[in-house]
Amino acid sequence: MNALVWQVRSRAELLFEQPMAWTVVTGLALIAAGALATAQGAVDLSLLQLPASILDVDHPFHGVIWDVRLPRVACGALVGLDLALAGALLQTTVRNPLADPGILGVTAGAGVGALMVILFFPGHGEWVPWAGFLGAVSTIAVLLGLAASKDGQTGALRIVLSGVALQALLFALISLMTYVYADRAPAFTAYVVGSLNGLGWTDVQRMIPPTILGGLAVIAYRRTLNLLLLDDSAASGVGVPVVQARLGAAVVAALLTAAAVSAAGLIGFVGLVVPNAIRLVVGPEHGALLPATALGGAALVIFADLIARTALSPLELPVGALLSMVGGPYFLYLLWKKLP
Amino acid sequence: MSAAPVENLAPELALEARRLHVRHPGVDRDVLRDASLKVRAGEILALVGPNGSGKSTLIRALGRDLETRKGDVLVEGDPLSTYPRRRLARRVARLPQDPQTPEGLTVEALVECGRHPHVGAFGRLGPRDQAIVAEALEAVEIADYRTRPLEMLSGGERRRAWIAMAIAQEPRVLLLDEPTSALDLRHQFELLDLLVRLNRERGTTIVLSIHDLEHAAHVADRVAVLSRGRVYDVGPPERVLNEETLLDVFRVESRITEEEGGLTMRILGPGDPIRNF
Repeated sequence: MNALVWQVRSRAELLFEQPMAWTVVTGLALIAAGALATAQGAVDLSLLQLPASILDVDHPFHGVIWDVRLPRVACGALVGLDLALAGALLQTTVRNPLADPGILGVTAGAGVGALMVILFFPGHGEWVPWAGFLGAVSTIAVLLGLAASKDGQTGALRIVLSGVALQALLFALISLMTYVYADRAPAFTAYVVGSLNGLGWTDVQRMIPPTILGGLAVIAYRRTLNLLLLDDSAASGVGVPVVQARLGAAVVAALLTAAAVSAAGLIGFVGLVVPNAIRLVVGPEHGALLPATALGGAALVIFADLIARTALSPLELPVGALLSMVGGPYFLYLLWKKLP
Repeated sequence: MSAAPVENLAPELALEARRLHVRHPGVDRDVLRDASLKVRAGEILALVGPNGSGKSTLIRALGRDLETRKGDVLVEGDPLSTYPRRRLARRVARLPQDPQTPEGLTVEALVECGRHPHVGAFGRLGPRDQAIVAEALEAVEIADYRTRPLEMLSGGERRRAWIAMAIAQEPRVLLLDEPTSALDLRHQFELLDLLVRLNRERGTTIVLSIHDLEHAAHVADRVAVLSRGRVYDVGPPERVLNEETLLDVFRVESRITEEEGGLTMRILGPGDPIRNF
């Protein structure tokens, strides 16, 4: 009996040493989270009823599922995927595990850009992610300028502190804008914390182009990203234009962040928690890290949102608050462990 | 490219440093002052000299890891500055003294980085690239550790993994900054033997900086002695590594005898230079 257990276990361990195994695991987690989140809520369905309610037009819950649950789950998946990938890219770009679009103020930058369109060009919802992209890119530009430092150690701390300062400034801007234009602005709290409440297919549509664009860039770029893991001297020794490559990765991170922010507001910590957790099990190589990170991020946000809207039902919590409750302590742990 | 040793009639130059002045970023003083050096194609050239004489700086300047302030480096006759990054990386590979790697990076992933100059930013590694990576791992005898993270290797194995990365670049010139530092004696010999093998089997030109003079004499076709940012002397080890030079440049008294196996050096202790140059 014991021998059998051991055999199964060692087989399983061998399996999990295959880097791609974690893409399968996170993929399964995504499917499970998606199915649960589609079935559960104010009207509860069993998982067995789920296929019928989706496919059968006459099913009593067909409307709810298609108009409310599925778009929300799709939004959650895209938001999680975008933020997790953006986090992984930023961590490689600044060579610092503490990097996260939220902590570095990139989501806040995207938030300001997105708000500009929401407030001043209310008829042009399709511009929101792109304006967010401009905001995010500007933030990253300022950040990299501020944190430029030859010394790796102070660099790590400097970039995080610069991000925190920028974020405070951008939050002030957001609170001013939402206060002055309270009639048409989203509620400050919900926007800054981030939530998936009331999202629909339009939001999914808006997120898809920047997500696809960013995703394709990530796929094309994944091997060069590995070279950025080497130190600058070694990377340029094999012919990598280090500065341009880092900037390129940062721009893609900004695009993905903006896509997420355009729908869900400033959800934080997904980009910190997911890539760091996945890196622990698959290692730093992007070919294995990025797909598992993307799927894991999607699964995490969907699952967190499910808890956010069912835990204190009928009260719907903003999913961002829940994620911060997990992410905040994790950030502290990383600070304590990774900084001298 | 012929494998047969070329006689010294008109040896082709792999690298040439012409009156180099180089300083480190943020430092207001030239480390290399008017340093000139010719590296012949297919040779092993060892750079020796006391701390601060400019060995590492010269190695880094030859590989464009440091900007030159004055003077030129020529790679196969063309100025270094005219080489696009990837083209240079296909000619010249360099091994930094203490390269940093992130936790968890595997040996194979590191060696695959060496194919970058051949496949480009958006290219994929084809079967030929895979074969070259596998061959590089074999050449340095760490193929068994392919899937291991670098931090799980010993110092000598890690050094060899980096050399495998350089081999995967298929360079004509390999620059190594103190490749034997922090290795125990046996690993030092193994590493030097590996370099000799690379040189003999693939015709790779090798320039290395090294502290141990006996090792330099053992491995190198020619030795360049650096002193205070200049090349003091360059030539075959038996000629260049003499008692006078050791006193002048290293400020030590020594007895050097030449035997069939090579040079035997006995360092007696600190000494005062005969002349200050």
